Amino acid sequence: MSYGINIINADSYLTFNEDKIYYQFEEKLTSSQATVTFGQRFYWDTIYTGSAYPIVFIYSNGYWCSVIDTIKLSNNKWRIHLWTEGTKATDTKNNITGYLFTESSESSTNPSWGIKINDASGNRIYDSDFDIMRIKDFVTMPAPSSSYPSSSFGSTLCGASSSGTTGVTSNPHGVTGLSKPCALLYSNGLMQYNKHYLCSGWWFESGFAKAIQKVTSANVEHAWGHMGDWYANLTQKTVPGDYTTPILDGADYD
Amino acid sequence: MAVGFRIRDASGNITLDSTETTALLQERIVKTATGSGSKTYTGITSRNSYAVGLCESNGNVAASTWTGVDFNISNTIVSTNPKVSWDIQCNPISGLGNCSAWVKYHIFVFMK
Repeated sequence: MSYGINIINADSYLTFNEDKIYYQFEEKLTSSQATVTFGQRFYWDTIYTGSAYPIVFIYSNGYWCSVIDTIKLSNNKWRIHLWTEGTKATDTKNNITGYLFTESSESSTNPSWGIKINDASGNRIYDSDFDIMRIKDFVTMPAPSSSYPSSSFGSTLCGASSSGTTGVTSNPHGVTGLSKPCALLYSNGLMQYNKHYLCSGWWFESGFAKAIQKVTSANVEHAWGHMGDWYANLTQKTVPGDYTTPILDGADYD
Repeated sequence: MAVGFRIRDASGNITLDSTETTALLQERIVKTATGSGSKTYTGITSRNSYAVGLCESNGNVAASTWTGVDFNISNTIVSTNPKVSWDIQCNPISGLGNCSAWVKYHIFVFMK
């Protein structure tokens, strides 16, 4: 580079460069900002009102969930929709935490001292009043082990009032020393069907399931969560693949 | 620490520590349509590339709920000139889902 800041640590690792984009911690998303829409679903509304797409890391605290939608609202807040396991939306929203990060150019304070750094275009890339997003490592979130939940899964968990998972996979994230391990829990593939099962005396042709995830102290996990049943036979499906997720410690921002 | 620096905010909290080996965000790529593509980062040596795909919708929750969006992303690990490739697919459930609900696909490329 011909100008600017380039910081390399004792391990010869580049730790700061003014040409990079630094995401900063904006807010925690908790139950006070959550609204349950169905037994399986709730959303967070952010305080953040910037224009840049936010990244939400989730401390799932033992609960299954998955971000299914991210929307910018007309009041400039953002709405983060999550799907949970069966009827556990209320339990889940009361126990998990979202850590929202966005670009440093989106908001800043005006203190009497501190450091702010702009890039060559004048965009704010660092503000010392905000914590930067400190990613500890990356790990592969494995796809659920079964591409189709079996009909026995649907018949056992018939109705949207039941909860349960199937096809659970687990992959060690290998990051130690985390108090609140957080990952990106996003539903990519999300729909499955299983044909023709008896549920509460009725024959259903399809059972719906959604890919949901969790992060534990040692692992990232992926599974099918039951959503409900359908009378018609739906032949479409979307099978999720593996995906990469960064890992960070939510306790760094508490 | 023997070398480096730390920056604290007005409350004394460390907001930047030069000894931490956090990943750096190399680039955000925004796509407004599904499809495949790739990008090679020339001049970068001995760094792993990691890409993450996320979605943004227009608020039609019902349509997006019944639609699967799959980011198939491959990353070049430990290489000179790391490369990321993507293939974004949207698969709605007939009569329930709607891919027009998805307006942007965000790909975040990190280097570590």
